Amino acid sequence: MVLEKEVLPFFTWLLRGEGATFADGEGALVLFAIVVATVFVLALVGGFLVSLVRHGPIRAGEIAYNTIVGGVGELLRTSFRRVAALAAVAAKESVRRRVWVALVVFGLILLFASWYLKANNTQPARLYLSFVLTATTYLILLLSLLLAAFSLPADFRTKTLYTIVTKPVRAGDIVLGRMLGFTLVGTVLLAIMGLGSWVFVNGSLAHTHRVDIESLEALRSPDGESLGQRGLTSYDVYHKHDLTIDTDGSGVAEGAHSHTHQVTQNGDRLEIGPAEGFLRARVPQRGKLRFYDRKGVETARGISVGNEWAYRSFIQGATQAAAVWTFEGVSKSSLVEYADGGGEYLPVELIVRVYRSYKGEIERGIQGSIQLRNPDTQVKTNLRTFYAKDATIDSFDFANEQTSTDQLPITILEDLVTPDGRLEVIVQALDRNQYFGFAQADCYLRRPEGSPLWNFIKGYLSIWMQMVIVIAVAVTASTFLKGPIAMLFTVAFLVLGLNREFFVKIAQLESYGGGPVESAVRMVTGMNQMSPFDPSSAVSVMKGIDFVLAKMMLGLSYVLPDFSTFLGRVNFVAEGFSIPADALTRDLIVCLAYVVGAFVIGYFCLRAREVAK
Amino acid sequence: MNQRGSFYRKVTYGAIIAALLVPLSLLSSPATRNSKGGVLSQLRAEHRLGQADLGEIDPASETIKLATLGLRGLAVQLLWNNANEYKKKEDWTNLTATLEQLAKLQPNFITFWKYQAWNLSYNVSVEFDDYKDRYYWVRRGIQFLQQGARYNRDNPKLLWELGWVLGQKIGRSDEKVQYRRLFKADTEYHPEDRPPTQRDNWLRSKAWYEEAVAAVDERGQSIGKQSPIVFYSSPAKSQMNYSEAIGEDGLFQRSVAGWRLSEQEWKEFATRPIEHSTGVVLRYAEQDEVEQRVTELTEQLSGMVAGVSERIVAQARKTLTPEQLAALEIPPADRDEDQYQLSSEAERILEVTPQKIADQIATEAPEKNRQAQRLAAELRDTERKLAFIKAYKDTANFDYWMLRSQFEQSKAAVNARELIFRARQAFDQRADVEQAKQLYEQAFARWADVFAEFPQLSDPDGTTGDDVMYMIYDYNRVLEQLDEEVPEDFPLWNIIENFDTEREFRAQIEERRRARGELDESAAQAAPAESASSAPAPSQATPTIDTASSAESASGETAAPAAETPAPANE
Repeated sequence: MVLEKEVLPFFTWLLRGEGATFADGEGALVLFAIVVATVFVLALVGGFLVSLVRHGPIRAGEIAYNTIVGGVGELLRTSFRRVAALAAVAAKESVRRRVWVALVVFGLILLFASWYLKANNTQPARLYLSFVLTATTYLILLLSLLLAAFSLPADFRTKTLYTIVTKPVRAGDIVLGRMLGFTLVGTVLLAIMGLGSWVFVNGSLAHTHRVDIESLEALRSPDGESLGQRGLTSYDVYHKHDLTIDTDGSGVAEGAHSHTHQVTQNGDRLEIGPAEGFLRARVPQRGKLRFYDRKGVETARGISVGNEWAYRSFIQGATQAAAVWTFEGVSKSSLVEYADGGGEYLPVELIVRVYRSYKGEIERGIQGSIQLRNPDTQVKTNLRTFYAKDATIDSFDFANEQTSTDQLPITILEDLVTPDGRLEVIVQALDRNQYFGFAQADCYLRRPEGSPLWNFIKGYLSIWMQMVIVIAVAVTASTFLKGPIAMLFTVAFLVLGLNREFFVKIAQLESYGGGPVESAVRMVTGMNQMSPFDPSSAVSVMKGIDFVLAKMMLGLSYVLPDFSTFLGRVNFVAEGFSIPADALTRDLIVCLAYVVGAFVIGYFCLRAREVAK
Repeated sequence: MNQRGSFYRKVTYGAIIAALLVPLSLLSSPATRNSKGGVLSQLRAEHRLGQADLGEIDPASETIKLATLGLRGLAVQLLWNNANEYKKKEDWTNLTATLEQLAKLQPNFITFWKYQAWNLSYNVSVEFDDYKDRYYWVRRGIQFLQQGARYNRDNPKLLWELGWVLGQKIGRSDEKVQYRRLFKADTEYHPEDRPPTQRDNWLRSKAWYEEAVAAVDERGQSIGKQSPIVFYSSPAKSQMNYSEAIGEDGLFQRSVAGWRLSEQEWKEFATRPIEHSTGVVLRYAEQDEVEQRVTELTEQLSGMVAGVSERIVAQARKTLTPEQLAALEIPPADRDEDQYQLSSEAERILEVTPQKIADQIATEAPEKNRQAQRLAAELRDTERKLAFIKAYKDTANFDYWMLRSQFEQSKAAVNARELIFRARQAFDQRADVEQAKQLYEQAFARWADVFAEFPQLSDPDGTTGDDVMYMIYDYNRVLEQLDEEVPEDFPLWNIIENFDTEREFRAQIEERRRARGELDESAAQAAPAESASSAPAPSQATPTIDTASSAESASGETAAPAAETPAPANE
């Protein structure tokens, strides 16, 4: 699968991020602390200034002090019982507001989805999965937005809130109660949608074939002994399979449209079983990739073959150019026992992207080689050659017992893995002037496969986390804004979060067409994005305003959640890869940070309103 | 007062709305069995814009159009962007899914079908390394076009495009051998009842071209901005490509039948009236007739007054400057740039145009002026028509294809092709060098007969000589295995001399010319000196490095490619 952003190990992400050490300050924890401190200072200064204008300096100081001390005390005394009661109220209110309509809409979407999703795709599972996951995401986010943004403002309008605040509840309880209540309702809806999606995906993919009797031909060994039969299945759902059947009548319908079928003999009839292998949860152990150029000098990237998308870079065939992955933590547990019990092997999977600079032999793939190497002793296994299956996952099982390039017997565990568990995989192209392209995610050690259902649930968990963030933000916004405005605020938050990368690019003034004002000017005057402005005082003013705006945007970008990361998780499920635990934990922590942050802000905002005091 | 004012205002608005509804209802009332309906309905019928007139009505398409709540443009914009992004990131699953959605949203936007089908057949297919995957995407593009053709019934552009992709993409790619083989065996594409002989990409291409022509001829569609020559010549061209392709497959008898049909269809194409961009309607077949008429008219005009043309020339000659006269005296090949310009001016002055004759007649015999002017005008128009016919014939390469479809039917040509086919098999598949040599020799003897029967084929500007030259190169490969050279009595030396673009026979050609006394000694001596200085290996018989081996040497360890980005594999 394509993995444009590396998933860092959880603690690396938390403590040092992309930086080399904790002190570089790029770890998530440090960034979070900076954001919290900044927001705290800004809120304190803002609150104090407002009080200063209204009540004079001494009283303002007193108010600020009381707010902080009282607020913190009150927050600490938040009662779970009261919160639970308010959450139940919020849930009941949601049901009264007919949230089940979302389920009807979802049902309708699934019902008519087949009109728009053609099964003639070579990867139908991917198509269906990404469809249901995307549809659920947008629907549940819209629903939670509407629920959460209008609830508190409606209570203000109908004055229901006044009756609540007469009871012994605190502002914090109200905010947290709402968040929890809506989350509860959303979770139930999401669970139902998840179940519906699972049934829909499996139902849509389910099919079988008949054996095409006319196509069957007997397979015989040179001395006439029967080896079984070979043939084709019937053509159904836009594909058919090649069949190989053993002498005992069992066999397999080989991979087409990313699945297989088992064949069994029932009396004198051959029967084809249900589709298998559509839904996968591969668990890769990933390594670090580096390249060698054609002269054998180490480089960070290979060469470009002129693709606009620079995800992969290429190595030239029949030169010293190579792609080298270093895996860490390789141990006996990385090895898998052969099915027949005859020893162990290291399963390596590789995706090669082929680029031909001339057509060469059309019916033959480009030849490449793969080797294992000890990074310390440089002992290498013998060259293992293969014909590249372009853009497809190819499996290489390396038996533990190998022969080195010096023709000595070696084993992977003893001779190729370093004492600290490192191992290198070297891939080269062998055909002159033909190229292989790689990205870091293209080679991995295959670990035992996970459960597709659990992976699917993890995908839904990602959606759930997005929902929770949206609810938290919307409830917080609704403590100080009117319903529609709170909704717009949250929508803006969501849209910017979905396009965070683009937003940051503008904030860093790196995008084409300049900052917000410059872009507006270019649009209105129909000016090209690339042509420079003639220098003038007006242009200087424009650039000046953009500079300030960009700084503000950059500040804002620190509190924007990156929803595209969450959407990226869904991609793992669609591509048949297990969502890494590191990614899931990280997302949960991010989600929690937003909930806590939103809760604290929401509490102070509601407390500041006269009604809740 | 206020309430009353508001009431009156509402009544007024209501009345205006009601009044506006009347013309609206009249304008847009639908057609029924007894009435033509309102203006909108009539216009829709006249321009065939009703959804049912455009093509298949798809409930899924109508639903999604409504479901976008008037934001169809926005949705389309978003999806096109996504499609481009998916293509860039090689996400083919989502690309095709997005195209399906776009197809539902804008099923009657012809450019969409053409562009995206092209994208699939040409751009996406080449991203795959396995030729079977490539073929899959070529076919996806074709099926996408077919889907478009169902939504847009009788659309000549889409039908023609289908003919083009089926023909050119499958039959002309580098992978044409594999593609044609896969196409024949493609049970997903062909209906079950289509006989194997009809499962040829060129025949399917022809069928779609014919559909396109029928849509224009019989169902009144417009070919838009497409060139009528290209459009109308396409079915016959596909027939010729078919005949050629099955000949290459070794099916010679069917190929002859194919060429016979090609000739017939090419002749029919010649009788089709084609409108020139200036509005003149012409037919290729009229050329002789028009030439005849030009001669007649010229004779009539200049015969009206005896010696008129000569007098025009004589008078014009008097107006020439001495420099112009001097330039005219120099043979055309020896003129320098100034002389060339002077002579061109002089020739223009000396040219006898119909108008000059008519004007001369008017001065010499005013009573014949009227008739002369009429004849001159007719002659001018006829000459113009003749020029158009010739230009259009060039565009379609008409004469070449006519000659080709004729000579390919000749016994000698069929025999020659069959022998070449067997020679190649002997060499490539059985490595039987001796037999290959013999078969080649027999084949070239037959080719010599073909050239004797159709002397126009030896025209150095034609392409048949080129085709035969490649056979001679193959023959030379065989001879190299036997350490032999093309013998002196080889019957096609004239072809080698005219068409050896790879310059494999340069030394032998020079020797032959020298022997004939066509090459003087000084030139002959200069040539080897020049080649010795430029060629890296003087011992080589042919110092010119052919393109394949130069590519090979550039890729060697010593000569690194200068650029970081290698040239893309050409499609």
